[in-house]
Amino acid sequence: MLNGTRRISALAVAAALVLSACSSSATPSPAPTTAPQDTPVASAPAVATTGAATAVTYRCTKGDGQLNGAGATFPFPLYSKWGADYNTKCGVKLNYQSIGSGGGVKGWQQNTVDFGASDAFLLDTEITTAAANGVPVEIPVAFGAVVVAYNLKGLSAPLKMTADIVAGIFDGKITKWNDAAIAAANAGVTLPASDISVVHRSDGSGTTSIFTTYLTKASPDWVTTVGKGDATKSAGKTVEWPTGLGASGNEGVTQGINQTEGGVGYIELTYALANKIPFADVKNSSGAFITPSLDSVKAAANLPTYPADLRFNLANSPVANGYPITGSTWLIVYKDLSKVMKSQDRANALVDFLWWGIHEGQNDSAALYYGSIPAGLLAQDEAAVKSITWAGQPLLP
Amino acid sequence: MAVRISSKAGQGGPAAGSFARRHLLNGDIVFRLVVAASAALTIGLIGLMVFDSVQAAWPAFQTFGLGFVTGIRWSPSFTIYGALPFIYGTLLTSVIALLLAVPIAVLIALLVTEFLPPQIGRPVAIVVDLLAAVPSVVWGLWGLLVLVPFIRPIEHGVADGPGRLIPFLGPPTPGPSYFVAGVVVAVMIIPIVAALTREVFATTPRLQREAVLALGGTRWDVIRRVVLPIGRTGLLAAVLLGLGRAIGETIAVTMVIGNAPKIGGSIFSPGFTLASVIANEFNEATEPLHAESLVGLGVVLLVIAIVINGAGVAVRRRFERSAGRGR
Repeated sequence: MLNGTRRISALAVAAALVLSACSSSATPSPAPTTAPQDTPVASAPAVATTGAATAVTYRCTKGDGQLNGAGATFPFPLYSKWGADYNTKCGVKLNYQSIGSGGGVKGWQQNTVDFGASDAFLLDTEITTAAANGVPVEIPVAFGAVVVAYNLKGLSAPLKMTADIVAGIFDGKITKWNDAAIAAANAGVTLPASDISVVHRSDGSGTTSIFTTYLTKASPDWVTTVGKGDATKSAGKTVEWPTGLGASGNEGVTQGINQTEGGVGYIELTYALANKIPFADVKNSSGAFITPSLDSVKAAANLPTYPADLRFNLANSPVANGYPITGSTWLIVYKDLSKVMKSQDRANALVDFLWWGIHEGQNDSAALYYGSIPAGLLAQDEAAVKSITWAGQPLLP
Repeated sequence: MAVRISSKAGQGGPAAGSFARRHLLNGDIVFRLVVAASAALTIGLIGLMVFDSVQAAWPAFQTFGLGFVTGIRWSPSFTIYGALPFIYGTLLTSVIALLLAVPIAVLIALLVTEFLPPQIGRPVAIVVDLLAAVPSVVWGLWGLLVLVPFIRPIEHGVADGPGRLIPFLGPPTPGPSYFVAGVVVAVMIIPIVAALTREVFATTPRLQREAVLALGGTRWDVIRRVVLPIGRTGLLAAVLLGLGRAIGETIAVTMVIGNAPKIGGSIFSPGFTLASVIANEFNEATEPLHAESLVGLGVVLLVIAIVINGAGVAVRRRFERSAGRGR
């Protein structure tokens, strides 16, 4: 539809040029305009709104010349790009250790890092554990998709899957690729009669958390089978898998899928794209089958409203064109930094970095296949960063 | 040894002079202190490690009691920790590895010491030794990328044919399994076992070999009646060292065993070992008692290693005693 109107307008422009200038040498062809379509369109609104709402300037407080963070592996490529870019811009080094979300939360609780990073917002119990140090500010900064990737030969289009199919495959109830449920969702596709070989993560992981949180929300059968009826047990960084092989890391699961005819597993979108593994379109809460992509991740993250504490969950997002297995990743800092940091200078360096991250840092997202902060969320993210204080005094103007 | 040296110093004559000159300046006491300190440090470190591990794992032991060792369900999300699937996996992969590695290693050692002339035997020995220098993660990659696809059809063939009738050889056969892990570990311990047994066989007294040959014995008779009986204590020590490595091998096993925390009914089933579950889960062990239970697995692993080593010492003593009687 968009392509059609564009092409028509381009043709009109071309015709006008030919008519007016009487020269056909420099007419732009309509084809290239469609190719780089998503990147500029994607980042444009965010930049525009920030420009309008607040004048984005960066103080670049040096502090001690470095900031330490630890946590989630999922946003690690983004944070390492941030580290390089922010060092170039402000001369502050970022040491980020991607030790896993659990480690990030621990590091934040024990105040061994300036900020923690996690693919799940803090549990109430995790907040009370750190109560002696103060209360947290949780800032969502990036969004990503987890895809159901498979190894099946001879399929021309992505398979379509519903939540019940995905749950059935991963809880061991669906064992053949030509199962009636899969066939029903993929009318007209010839499915092989081969065995399904499930690969899941063997290490605790935010990726598992995003995937199982989705299944818990969207499939009652998953809660019954895996959580024995308890939704807190069927979602998390580790669950009790009824079937399948375990593999360590996204790369391990990718390898496991690649190696086994009939293999299926869940991995981050980036890994599936990089390894050219096909992945399924998944039915979302409004009944549409959605292809995981940067656009559908952004759509899923674009909620109508966000809770004030920014502890929200994108699994099975209510947005009409959003991909349902989407997750976000948070940076976690203390609200009052005077209790946990030695110098106000370093605290200033931290909030300056956070401020930069939610603005200019967002330009790094698309190239690394992360969804950036939606326009509707940015104001709340800004407010969150501004709420960070030094003994009650805001650190940012 | 220290005693002998000091007694010699004592014989140095009355002119040797003061106590300090005799005992301190010749380094005797200093040396003894250094030796004692390093021994104490080593023992102290082991003791501290055991104490710390047991202490860190204590909440898990206290909660689950004997069930921690006998339980067959490992579920962090339900706070249920039973180590039996991992104990089973560790022992099964080690046994498979030993069954494959020891005969091959012994044959290599015999080939080098008994059959090949030194100018050929030495390079062969060096190449075998070089295998020990390959990092385990490389073996793991090789196992995952080469061995698993290679073995999978064989597993299929066995499991769907004779395996249907024979226990422990049946389906399912997804690829990664106890068997593949055993093969990878076998390849890893062959060089160690081969090198040690080679040394043992090389020390066989020449007179005894020649005696057998003089009596009209063949080379096979030499090996059967002299080399193997005399070398069996050393052979046992070599096997135990190999077993020690097999039990503790982590990363290579993790990559090829399938990491499924259950007791697989077949050697072709995916499983898990004590070492690999610790490596897999420790980073994100945030559930209650999860980290404590993982340390508990470490204690179990330690106990298994001690029991096996103890058994090895006992068996060696018996060998030595019977060998002494035989003489």
